[in-house]
Amino acid sequence: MLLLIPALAIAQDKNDFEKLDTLLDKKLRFVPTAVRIGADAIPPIRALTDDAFSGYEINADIDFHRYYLAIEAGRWERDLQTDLEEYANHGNYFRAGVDVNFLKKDPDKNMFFIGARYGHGKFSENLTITSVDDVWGTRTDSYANTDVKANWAELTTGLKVRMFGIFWMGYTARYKFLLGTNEPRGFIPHDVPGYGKTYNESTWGFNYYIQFRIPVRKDERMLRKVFEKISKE
Amino acid sequence: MQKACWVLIIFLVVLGGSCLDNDVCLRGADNALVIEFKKLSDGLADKVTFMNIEAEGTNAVFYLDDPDVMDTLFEDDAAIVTVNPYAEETLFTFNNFRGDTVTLKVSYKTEVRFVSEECGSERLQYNLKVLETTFDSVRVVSSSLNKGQSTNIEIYH
Repeated sequence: MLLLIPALAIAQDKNDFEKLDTLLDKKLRFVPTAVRIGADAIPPIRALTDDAFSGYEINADIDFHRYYLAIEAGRWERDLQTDLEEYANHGNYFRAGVDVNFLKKDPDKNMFFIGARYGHGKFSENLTITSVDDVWGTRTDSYANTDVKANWAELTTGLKVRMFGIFWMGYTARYKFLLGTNEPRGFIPHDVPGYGKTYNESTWGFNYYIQFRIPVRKDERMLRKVFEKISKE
Repeated sequence: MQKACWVLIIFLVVLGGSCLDNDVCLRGADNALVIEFKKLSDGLADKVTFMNIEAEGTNAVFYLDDPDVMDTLFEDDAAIVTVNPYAEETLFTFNNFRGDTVTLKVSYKTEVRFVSEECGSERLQYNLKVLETTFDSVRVVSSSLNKGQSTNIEIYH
């Protein structure tokens, strides 16, 4: 940024300023302008309506021109009970990846994006079953998977829109696939935190984010305002 | 922007449709073991007669319904019995009408999974092997037990 100030000083006319503006764009294109942090609004709502579930998810992203490095992390807990089964699951997860913004010219940097993620979770689960078999009788057994690691991939798309000031809202739809888990054979995982039910080879997810965008490059904005002001004069 | 909106709308319609099939009961297995009898000479299906089949570990007897009818046991050239879901092996004893017995001991592994609140849980038997037998020749053709939908063991005699 300091390197551009002498150039600004010697700029003589509108053409010079346009050249400087282009130069600024080129030089600073991949320098982040803001960090956006927030949380998913769906898990708290789900916890209110589903007694068996509790969880949360926070997320953050940072821009590099039209590419956004995105990270999400969260925790799920589920406790289910039927007449013959008791199932409990708790674990943490994170996802990391890149979103590409297709609204290139939007001055507010609103986003319609498509992206990809790598997901990783670590969880434990317990199952107690009472099995009823006409021939072999009834028996109750307990099973546990402890510290199971899971990996998966995601394709994402969605919108993120500036509501006012630094307050943003948006949603992300996820197509999740290529799930792999490392549990020993005996108890097939039922639910992977961050992924969902395991009995489908692929599944869908949806997040509704409430976010705050915190600028990290205020000086660029100031410089641009100077350009605009000088250009108009 | 217009194109982007259409892409998003289509994506959300697909997403909405995919959510409708949640919590479908996808039970793919039980402990039914399908045994098919074949002729040792030419490998064709063979109709055999046994009085019943007993399994070690249970008082229940398979095919006990018609003990006096010699030719109704395996009408489809196959017998369906169940392995002990709480053990890793089961010994079956085939009793014929002459008072002779033939045995078949199988081993397997068991996995459990919780399907859903609506569907409950299930046990899956896999890695089926024949440990011992007094039949002439036995072959495992499908090592996973899948609700009796396919033959697990072929017995040649």
